[in-house]
Amino acid sequence: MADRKRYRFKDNLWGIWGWYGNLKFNLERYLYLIHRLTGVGLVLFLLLHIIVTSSRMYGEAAWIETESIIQNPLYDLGMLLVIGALIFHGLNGIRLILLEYGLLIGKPTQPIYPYKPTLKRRTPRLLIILMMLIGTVFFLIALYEFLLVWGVLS
Amino acid sequence: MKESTIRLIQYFTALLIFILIGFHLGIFTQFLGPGYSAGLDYLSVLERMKNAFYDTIYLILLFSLLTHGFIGIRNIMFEIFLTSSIRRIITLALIIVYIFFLLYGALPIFYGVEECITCV
Repeated sequence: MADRKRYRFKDNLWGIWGWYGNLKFNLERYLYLIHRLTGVGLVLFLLLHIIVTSSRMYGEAAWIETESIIQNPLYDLGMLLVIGALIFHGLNGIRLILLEYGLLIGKPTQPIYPYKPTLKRRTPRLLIILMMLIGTVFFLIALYEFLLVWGVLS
Repeated sequence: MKESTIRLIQYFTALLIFILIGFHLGIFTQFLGPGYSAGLDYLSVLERMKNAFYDTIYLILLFSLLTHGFIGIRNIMFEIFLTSSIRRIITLALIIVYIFFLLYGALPIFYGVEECITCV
């Protein structure tokens, strides 16, 4: 009780630095960290994207002016980074929903001696591998598109 | 609104975004659409804006993205700020910014679909 009173407003002393912990994470914790960072980054990008694309309503001249600003290799590189973050955040999010609802990992049963695990313990790790594979394919498609724009491929 | 309902909205919008973002990005690839540069062309953008199907997709996508994003930011803020009065201020501030961007993002979908001057 005394501890509760003492730390009433200090429970989360680390704040966002708590995401990084003591850097002795397992793979899932690293995925959690990247999921958070990409999430915040994508929200900032979304707000910027809304502001940039809304220039269309001011007419063709405004759109062309905006296009001339955003069509450069540095912006394209940033866009590729955003697409990478989007692919990761999306696929990892799907993985989290599947795990939260207990899908694909089997059903828990009453423990009866001799105890045997009923949950498929390898499935979460397989999901991560599958997520990485699908993500790589999506990212390569995006990269191919940008290589065409940059003139590396024809 | 209950926190569990907010969490369900978060999951539902996530699934919507996953499908619709694929469609949105697909337009800018050679496989499903005109490609990145051609997709950004004013005539191409106008054509999409005049199409009710694309308008509907963009509206749902805008709503889903903003809802999902702002719930996520709220979750993070709630982890950092624990007092209920600050949490109320955060929620109110986020709702105001959310409504502003929802309206500002929806405007180009309904407004300004005029003719293209330089297009043939």
